[in-house]
Amino acid sequence: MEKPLTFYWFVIIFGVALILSMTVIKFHDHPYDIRDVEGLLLKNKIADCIAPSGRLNSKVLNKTKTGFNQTFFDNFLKECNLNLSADDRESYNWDEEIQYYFEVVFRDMNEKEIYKFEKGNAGIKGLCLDNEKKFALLPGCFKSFFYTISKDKENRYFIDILTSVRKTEKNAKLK
Amino acid sequence: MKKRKKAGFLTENVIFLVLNLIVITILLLFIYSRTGGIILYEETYAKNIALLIDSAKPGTEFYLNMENALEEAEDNAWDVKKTVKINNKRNMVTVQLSEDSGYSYSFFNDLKVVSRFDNRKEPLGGQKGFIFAITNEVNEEGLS
Repeated sequence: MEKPLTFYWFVIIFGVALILSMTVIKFHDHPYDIRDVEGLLLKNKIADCIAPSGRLNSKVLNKTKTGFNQTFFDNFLKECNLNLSADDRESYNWDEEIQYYFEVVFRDMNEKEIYKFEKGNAGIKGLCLDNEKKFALLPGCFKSFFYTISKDKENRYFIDILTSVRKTEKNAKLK
Repeated sequence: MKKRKKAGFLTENVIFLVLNLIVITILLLFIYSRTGGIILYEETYAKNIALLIDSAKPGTEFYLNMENALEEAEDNAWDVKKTVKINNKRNMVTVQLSEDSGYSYSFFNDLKVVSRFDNRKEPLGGQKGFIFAITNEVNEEGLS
Protein backbone atom coordinates (compact mmCIF):
# COMPACT_ATOMS: atom_id res chain seq x y z
CA MET A 1 0.00 0.00 0.00
CA GLU A 2 2.86 2.36 0.86
CA LYS A 3 4.72 1.92 -2.45
CA PRO A 4 1.89 3.22 -4.69
CA LEU A 5 1.48 6.18 -2.31
CA THR A 6 5.20 6.93 -2.49
CA PHE A 7 5.00 6.96 -6.29
CA TYR A 8 2.09 9.45 -6.24
CA TRP A 9 3.94 11.53 -3.68
CA PHE A 10 6.85 11.95 -6.06
CA VAL A 11 4.51 12.71 -8.96
CA ILE A 12 2.99 15.52 -6.88
CA ILE A 13 6.31 16.91 -5.72
CA PHE A 14 7.72 16.92 -9.24
CA GLY A 15 4.54 18.62 -10.47
CA VAL A 16 4.87 21.34 -7.82
CA ALA A 17 8.55 21.80 -8.65
CA LEU A 18 7.73 22.10 -12.34
CA ILE A 19 5.04 24.73 -11.75
CA LEU A 20 7.33 26.73 -9.46
CA SER A 21 10.13 26.62 -12.01
CA MET A 22 7.86 27.76 -14.84
CA THR A 23 6.54 30.61 -12.70
CA VAL A 24 10.06 31.80 -11.87
CA ILE A 25 11.16 31.56 -15.51
CA LYS A 26 8.09 33.45 -16.69
CA PHE A 27 8.61 36.23 -14.16
CA HIS A 28 12.33 36.72 -14.69
CA ASP A 29 12.29 36.28 -18.45
CA HIS A 30 11.14 39.84 -19.01
CA PRO A 31 13.34 42.90 -18.63
CA TYR A 32 12.30 45.48 -16.09
CA ASP A 33 10.05 48.04 -17.74
CA ILE A 34 10.85 51.51 -16.43
CA ARG A 35 9.42 53.56 -19.29
CA ASP A 36 6.50 54.83 -17.25
CA VAL A 37 8.87 56.11 -14.57
CA GLU A 38 11.09 57.69 -17.22
CA GLY A 39 8.05 59.39 -18.74
CA LEU A 40 7.07 60.70 -15.34
CA LEU A 41 10.56 62.01 -14.60
CA LEU A 42 10.74 63.68 -18.01
CA LYS A 43 7.38 65.33 -17.35
CA ASN A 44 8.62 66.59 -13.98
CA LYS A 45 11.79 68.00 -15.50
CA ILE A 46 9.85 69.81 -18.23
CA ALA A 47 7.35 71.16 -15.71
CA ASP A 48 10.15 72.34 -13.40
CA CYS A 49 11.75 74.16 -16.32
CA ILE A 50 8.57 75.86 -17.53
CA ALA A 51 7.28 76.67 -14.07
CA PRO A 52 9.97 76.38 -11.38
CA SER A 53 8.37 76.30 -7.94
CA GLY A 54 4.99 76.60 -9.64
CA ARG A 55 5.57 80.10 -11.08
CA LEU A 56 5.92 80.63 -14.81
CA ASN A 57 9.53 80.87 -15.93
CA SER A 58 10.26 84.47 -16.94
CA LYS A 59 11.96 83.22 -20.11
CA VAL A 60 8.72 81.65 -21.42
CA LEU A 61 7.19 84.99 -22.41
CA ASN A 62 8.75 87.58 -24.69
CA LYS A 63 10.06 90.89 -23.35
CA THR A 64 6.73 92.66 -23.77
CA LYS A 65 4.91 89.70 -22.21
CA THR A 66 2.35 89.78 -24.99
CA GLY A 67 3.37 86.45 -26.45
CA PHE A 68 5.69 83.51 -26.09
CA ASN A 69 9.46 83.65 -26.42
CA GLN A 70 10.18 81.55 -29.50
CA THR A 71 13.93 81.57 -28.83
CA PHE A 72 13.38 79.90 -25.47
CA PHE A 73 11.34 77.11 -27.03
CA ASP A 74 13.74 76.67 -29.93
CA ASN A 75 16.53 76.12 -27.40
CA PHE A 76 14.29 74.36 -24.91
CA LEU A 77 16.44 71.26 -24.55
CA LYS A 78 19.55 73.32 -23.85
CA GLU A 79 17.70 75.65 -21.48
CA CYS A 80 16.34 72.71 -19.49
CA ASN A 81 19.45 70.48 -19.64
CA LEU A 82 17.74 67.73 -21.60
CA ASN A 83 19.26 65.33 -24.09
CA LEU A 84 16.85 63.14 -26.04
CA SER A 85 19.55 61.20 -27.86
CA ALA A 86 19.39 57.75 -26.21
CA ASP A 87 22.45 56.52 -28.02
CA ASP A 88 22.66 52.76 -27.74
CA ARG A 89 24.06 52.31 -31.21
CA GLU A 90 25.84 49.00 -30.45
CA SER A 91 22.63 47.08 -30.00
CA TYR A 92 19.98 49.09 -31.76
CA ASN A 93 19.72 51.97 -34.19
CA TRP A 94 18.74 54.38 -31.47
CA ASP A 95 21.24 56.95 -32.75
CA GLU A 96 19.05 57.19 -35.85
CA GLU A 97 15.68 56.97 -34.13
CA ILE A 98 15.08 59.22 -31.12
CA GLN A 99 13.47 57.31 -28.28
CA TYR A 100 11.75 60.21 -26.53
CA TYR A 101 8.96 62.61 -27.38
CA PHE A 102 7.18 65.33 -25.50
CA GLU A 103 4.53 67.90 -26.27
CA VAL A 104 3.64 70.97 -24.24
CA VAL A 105 0.38 72.85 -24.78
CA PHE A 106 -0.44 76.19 -23.20
CA ARG A 107 -4.13 76.97 -22.70
CA ASP A 108 -5.82 80.12 -21.50
CA MET A 109 -8.39 80.27 -18.72
CA ASN A 110 -11.09 79.21 -21.21
CA GLU A 111 -8.97 76.13 -21.96
CA LYS A 112 -8.39 77.33 -25.49
CA GLU A 113 -5.05 76.30 -26.95
CA ILE A 114 -2.83 79.33 -27.45
CA TYR A 115 0.64 77.83 -27.86
CA LYS A 116 2.07 74.39 -28.50
CA PHE A 117 5.52 72.99 -29.04
CA GLU A 118 7.00 69.51 -29.26
CA LYS A 119 10.42 67.86 -29.31
CA GLY A 120 11.72 64.42 -30.14
CA ASN A 121 10.31 61.63 -32.28
CA ALA A 122 6.73 62.57 -33.20
CA GLY A 123 6.13 59.01 -34.44
CA ILE A 124 6.03 57.80 -30.84
CA LYS A 125 3.06 60.01 -30.02
CA GLY A 126 0.78 58.07 -32.31
CA LEU A 127 1.69 54.84 -30.53
CA CYS A 128 0.36 56.23 -27.27
CA LEU A 129 -3.12 56.10 -28.74
CA ASP A 130 -2.71 52.77 -30.52
CA ASN A 131 -5.04 50.33 -28.77
CA GLU A 132 -4.30 47.50 -31.15
CA LYS A 133 -0.67 47.03 -30.30
CA LYS A 134 0.30 44.67 -27.54
CA PHE A 135 0.79 46.62 -24.33
CA ALA A 136 4.47 45.82 -23.95
CA LEU A 137 5.18 47.20 -27.40
CA LEU A 138 3.62 50.52 -26.56
CA PRO A 139 5.88 53.30 -25.38
CA GLY A 140 5.61 54.60 -21.83
CA CYS A 141 3.22 57.54 -22.18
CA PHE A 142 2.49 59.99 -19.43
CA LYS A 143 0.07 62.88 -19.59
CA SER A 144 -0.56 65.54 -17.00
CA PHE A 145 -1.70 69.11 -16.71
CA PHE A 146 -1.22 71.87 -14.20
CA TYR A 147 -1.96 75.52 -13.67
CA THR A 148 0.69 78.21 -13.49
CA ILE A 149 0.83 81.95 -13.06
CA SER A 150 3.56 84.47 -13.78
CA LYS A 151 5.33 86.31 -10.99
CA ASP A 152 3.45 89.53 -11.68
CA LYS A 153 0.21 87.51 -11.72
CA GLU A 154 -0.83 88.93 -15.07
CA ASN A 155 -0.39 85.78 -17.13
CA ARG A 156 -2.18 82.57 -16.23
CA TYR A 157 -2.11 79.32 -18.12
CA PHE A 158 -3.16 75.72 -18.01
CA ILE A 159 -0.28 73.59 -19.25
CA ASP A 160 -0.68 70.10 -20.70
CA ILE A 161 2.40 67.93 -20.93
CA LEU A 162 2.54 64.65 -22.82
CA THR A 163 5.76 62.62 -22.56
CA SER A 164 6.53 59.39 -24.30
CA VAL A 165 9.46 57.01 -23.94
CA ARG A 166 9.93 54.24 -26.47
CA LYS A 167 13.09 52.14 -25.67
CA THR A 168 11.01 49.03 -26.33
CA GLU A 169 13.97 46.70 -26.94
CA LYS A 170 15.33 47.30 -23.44
CA ASN A 171 12.06 47.29 -21.54
CA ALA A 172 9.86 44.66 -23.13
CA LYS A 173 10.33 41.14 -24.33
CA LEU A 174 9.94 41.08 -28.10
CA LYS A 175 8.96 37.87 -29.85
CA MET B 1 12.46 -12.06 9.82
CA LYS B 2 11.33 -9.11 11.94
CA LYS B 3 14.83 -7.63 11.82
CA ARG B 4 14.83 -7.83 8.02
CA LYS B 5 11.46 -6.10 7.90
CA LYS B 6 12.68 -3.34 10.21
CA ALA B 7 15.88 -2.86 8.19
CA GLY B 8 13.87 -2.73 4.97
CA PHE B 9 11.47 -0.22 6.46
CA LEU B 10 14.32 2.02 7.60
CA THR B 11 16.11 1.83 4.26
CA GLU B 12 12.99 2.70 2.32
CA ASN B 13 12.30 5.73 4.47
CA VAL B 14 15.89 6.96 4.31
CA ILE B 15 15.85 6.68 0.53
CA PHE B 16 12.50 8.46 0.45
CA LEU B 17 13.81 11.34 2.57
CA VAL B 18 17.04 11.62 0.59
CA LEU B 19 15.15 11.80 -2.71
CA ASN B 20 12.86 14.49 -1.30
CA LEU B 21 15.85 16.50 -0.15
CA ILE B 22 17.52 16.17 -3.54
CA VAL B 23 14.41 17.42 -5.35
CA ILE B 24 13.95 20.35 -2.95
CA THR B 25 17.66 21.25 -3.14
CA ILE B 26 17.62 21.26 -6.94
CA LEU B 27 14.51 23.42 -6.91
CA LEU B 28 15.99 25.92 -4.47
CA LEU B 29 19.27 26.12 -6.41
CA PHE B 30 17.37 26.75 -9.62
CA ILE B 31 15.25 29.49 -8.05
CA TYR B 32 18.34 31.09 -6.50
CA SER B 33 20.17 31.05 -9.83
CA ARG B 34 17.27 32.76 -11.62
CA THR B 35 16.60 35.38 -8.99
CA GLY B 36 20.20 36.41 -8.49
CA GLY B 37 23.01 36.48 -10.98
CA ILE B 38 25.10 38.96 -12.87
CA ILE B 39 22.69 39.72 -15.70
CA LEU B 40 19.88 40.62 -13.36
CA TYR B 41 22.09 42.83 -11.17
CA GLU B 42 23.56 44.65 -14.16
CA GLU B 43 20.18 45.49 -15.64
CA THR B 44 18.65 46.44 -12.30
CA TYR B 45 21.45 48.74 -11.22
CA ALA B 46 21.95 50.34 -14.63
CA LYS B 47 18.27 51.28 -14.84
CA ASN B 48 18.17 52.32 -11.21
CA ILE B 49 21.16 54.64 -11.65
CA ALA B 50 19.73 56.10 -14.88
CA LEU B 51 16.46 56.92 -13.12
CA LEU B 52 18.27 58.48 -10.19
CA ILE B 53 20.33 60.66 -12.53
CA ASP B 54 17.21 61.71 -14.45
CA SER B 55 15.44 62.72 -11.25
CA ALA B 56 18.39 64.63 -9.80
CA LYS B 57 18.83 68.39 -9.88
CA PRO B 58 22.18 70.19 -10.28
CA GLY B 59 24.34 69.87 -7.21
CA THR B 60 22.75 66.64 -6.04
CA GLU B 61 24.97 63.91 -4.66
CA PHE B 62 23.68 60.47 -3.79
CA TYR B 63 25.06 57.18 -2.56
CA LEU B 64 23.83 53.85 -3.93
CA ASN B 65 24.39 50.68 -1.97
CA MET B 66 25.61 48.03 -4.42
CA GLU B 67 27.02 45.48 -2.01
CA ASN B 68 25.46 42.37 -3.57
CA ALA B 69 26.45 43.39 -7.09
CA LEU B 70 30.00 44.28 -6.05
CA GLU B 71 30.35 40.90 -4.35
CA GLU B 72 29.42 39.27 -7.65
CA ALA B 73 32.07 41.38 -9.37
CA GLU B 74 34.69 40.31 -6.85
CA ASP B 75 33.69 36.66 -7.31
CA ASN B 76 34.31 37.14 -11.04
CA ALA B 77 37.73 38.75 -10.42
CA TRP B 78 36.48 42.07 -11.80
CA ASP B 79 37.80 45.34 -10.40
CA VAL B 80 34.96 46.88 -8.37
CA LYS B 81 36.08 50.40 -9.35
CA LYS B 82 35.31 49.55 -12.98
CA THR B 83 31.83 48.28 -12.14
CA VAL B 84 29.99 51.51 -12.93
CA LYS B 85 30.93 53.79 -15.81
CA ILE B 86 29.23 57.02 -16.77
CA ASN B 87 29.66 58.16 -20.35
CA ASN B 88 28.71 61.84 -20.27
CA LYS B 89 29.19 62.31 -24.01
CA ARG B 90 26.58 59.70 -24.82
CA ASN B 91 24.54 60.14 -21.62
CA MET B 92 24.84 56.49 -20.76
CA VAL B 93 25.48 54.46 -17.63
CA THR B 94 27.11 51.03 -17.89
CA VAL B 95 27.18 48.43 -15.12
CA GLN B 96 29.68 45.64 -15.67
CA LEU B 97 30.25 42.85 -13.18
CA SER B 98 32.53 40.61 -15.22
CA GLU B 99 34.78 40.79 -18.24
CA ASP B 100 32.23 39.29 -20.62
CA SER B 101 29.11 41.07 -19.50
CA GLY B 102 27.70 44.53 -19.11
CA TYR B 103 24.45 46.45 -19.40
CA SER B 104 24.02 50.02 -20.54
CA TYR B 105 21.09 52.38 -20.23
CA SER B 106 20.78 55.97 -21.32
CA PHE B 107 19.47 58.95 -19.37
CA PHE B 108 18.10 62.31 -20.58
CA ASN B 109 19.60 64.57 -17.90
CA ASP B 110 22.25 66.50 -19.80
CA LEU B 111 24.27 67.59 -16.79
CA LYS B 112 27.70 66.09 -16.22
CA VAL B 113 27.65 63.15 -13.79
CA VAL B 114 30.65 62.05 -11.79
CA SER B 115 30.78 58.68 -10.07
CA ARG B 116 33.26 57.11 -7.70
CA PHE B 117 33.52 53.90 -5.76
CA ASP B 118 33.01 54.43 -2.07
CA ASN B 119 36.13 52.80 -0.66
CA ARG B 120 36.36 54.36 2.75
CA LYS B 121 36.88 52.04 5.68
CA GLU B 122 33.46 52.97 7.00
CA PRO B 123 31.33 53.78 3.99
CA LEU B 124 27.94 55.37 4.30
CA GLY B 125 25.52 52.83 5.61
CA GLY B 126 28.38 50.49 6.42
CA GLN B 127 28.24 48.79 3.01
CA LYS B 128 30.01 49.12 -0.34
CA GLY B 129 28.59 51.30 -3.04
CA PHE B 130 29.03 54.17 -5.43
CA ILE B 131 28.62 57.88 -4.96
CA PHE B 132 27.16 59.90 -7.82
CA ALA B 133 27.42 63.67 -8.11
CA ILE B 134 25.31 65.71 -10.55
CA THR B 135 27.35 68.79 -11.41
CA ASN B 136 26.20 72.12 -12.75
CA GLU B 137 28.13 71.59 -15.99
CA VAL B 138 26.35 70.65 -19.17
CA ASN B 139 27.74 67.78 -21.21
CA GLU B 140 29.84 68.77 -24.21
CA GLU B 141 28.05 66.72 -26.86
CA GLY B 142 24.51 65.62 -27.35
CA LEU B 143 22.79 68.98 -27.23
CA SER B 144 19.91 68.75 -29.63
